[in-house]
Amino acid sequence: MTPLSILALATSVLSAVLAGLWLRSHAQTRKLGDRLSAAAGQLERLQVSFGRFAPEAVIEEIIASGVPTQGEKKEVTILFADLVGFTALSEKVEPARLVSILNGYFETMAAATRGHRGYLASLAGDGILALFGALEANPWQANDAVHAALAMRRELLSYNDTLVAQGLEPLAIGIGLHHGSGVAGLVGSQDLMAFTVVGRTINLASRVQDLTRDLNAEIIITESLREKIDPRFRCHPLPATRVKGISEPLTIYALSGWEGESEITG
Amino acid sequence: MTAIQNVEWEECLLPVAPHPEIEREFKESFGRIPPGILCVTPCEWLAHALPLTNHTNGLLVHTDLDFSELVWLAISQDNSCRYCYAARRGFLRTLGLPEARIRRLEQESFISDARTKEGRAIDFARRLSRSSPPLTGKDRQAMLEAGFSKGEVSELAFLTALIIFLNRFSTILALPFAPIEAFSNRPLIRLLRPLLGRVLRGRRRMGRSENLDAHQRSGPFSYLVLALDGLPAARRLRDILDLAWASKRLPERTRLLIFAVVARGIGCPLAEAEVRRMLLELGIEPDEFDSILAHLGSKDLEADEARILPFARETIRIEAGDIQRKARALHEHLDTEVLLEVVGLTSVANMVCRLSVICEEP
Repeated sequence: MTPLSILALATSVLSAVLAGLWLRSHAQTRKLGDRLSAAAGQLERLQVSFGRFAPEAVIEEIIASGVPTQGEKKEVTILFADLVGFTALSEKVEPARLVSILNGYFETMAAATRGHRGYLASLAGDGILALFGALEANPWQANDAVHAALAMRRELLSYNDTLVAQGLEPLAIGIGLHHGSGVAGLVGSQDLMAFTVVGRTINLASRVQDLTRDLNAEIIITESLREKIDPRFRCHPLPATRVKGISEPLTIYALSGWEGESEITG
Repeated sequence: MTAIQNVEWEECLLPVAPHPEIEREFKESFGRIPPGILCVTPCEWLAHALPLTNHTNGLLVHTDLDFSELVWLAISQDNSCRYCYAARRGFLRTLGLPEARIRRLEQESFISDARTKEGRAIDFARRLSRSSPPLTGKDRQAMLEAGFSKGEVSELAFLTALIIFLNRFSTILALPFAPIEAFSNRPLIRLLRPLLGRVLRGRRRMGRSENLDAHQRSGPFSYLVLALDGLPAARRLRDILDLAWASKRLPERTRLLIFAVVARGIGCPLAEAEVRRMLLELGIEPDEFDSILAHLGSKDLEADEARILPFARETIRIEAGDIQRKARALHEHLDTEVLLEVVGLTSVANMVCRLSVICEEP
């Protein structure tokens, strides 16, 4: 072979090798790009899904810094709800049916809460904790919470029609609401964490909910909440009552409805 | 597939209403008539305000035009506005950007790197859009300390607020995004893309510093307009506000109450104080104002006001499908012109009440 032909051959081989390397690199880059696109899309969808469990700002902080957010002091309205008659029902109905009934109840109550800008913070047994004004500042949280309570009452009446049609006893509900300040944040451990509010306000709301059975009132609100709500809500005073942890008797009201709507009984 | 492509989107709330004069104005400003936009023509001030939102015709002095597209994508995505997102995407494709480059832009706008200047700007814009909590003078100060000039921050804030205005009414009315997506994929458009891109790039221009005329230094929300003085944004904001205020379709009191509700809901004391001042001048009693704002209702409200004010609240933080259904429900009680007036005013209110960050002290 002449030197020229050797040079030409070498150049061809080198070109082929370089072209091959370039193609391989290009393919790898494209693959990486596709994976990055897919990862970004998954992250976006994950972020949207997690919006059910924690506020958007909290999720973004976790993504950015990898640690749970600090607590923040906020004005909040707390709603506790508990089923009356569920224990008796649980003794009559087989487990699968019981879970189905409970889930149907929770779905109904969750929709009523969400429809009034409440955040369903936890479900414990047959109990519900909903927060208003905890995720985002809400100057109308007091009215929203009380409207949510009335909506929950209405929806339960409708749900009861379904239960009665199935030959089951209707359920009743006891709802306690309170307004005050609390510390909102992600609370828990590595194993279990939830966005909630801690402090005296939430404890008091829970005590108020307990009173619904003793005082035979479906929805009870505290004075501090009554001062904030629209005067068109109908409430009547209940006897001042002592609750654990509070030195003075509590001024509370039974909520009976909204102006222009028929009274709720019980 | 990005999350925005899964966002629920109803049928367009209103039919297209041809209007030759407004159509000419759109063509002059945008080069064509954006699909579905002619449904707003029954509300003339809103239709005339839309060309003022064009950010590529001398609005921006400090903000790079290509970067402004990134801001547009980020905020429209954040607000789940499928219409504005599709419009921006379509525009970028017509400009000649390859699909892969646009997808990278989408990723960059979604995952903004706060270590870079662009990332910080996107983060600021996003937080301003959400206003949860509302941005304050401290946030503006932080941007200045990060190396942004006063003009850059003000302009970025105005651009974001403008996008919010467009996102709001586009979403509430459920303007159709599918024709926009289809347009940029048409074979003829793809063939002519290099030429169209050159034409579009040629039409884009940066602005120059300019001061307000004397008559533009007063009027509703003048404190905001004056804070933007020196930028073309000041004149645009003044013009949009003057258009909205010139309309007599709703009583002045109702218009102001709409702004008051949005200001209270976002948590903007400056805007709320401005509206309160104007309502007191109109003769509303302070107690009445406080009561209406505290409960979004009162026995003293007119029937339409009693429906409009809760709806104004709904526009502060929106989910597309939900606000579209609420708008449809409101339309059962209000005629088209009044509904559009409400949609336009709530969109302007959401723009204005988020913009106060440019005025607040740290």
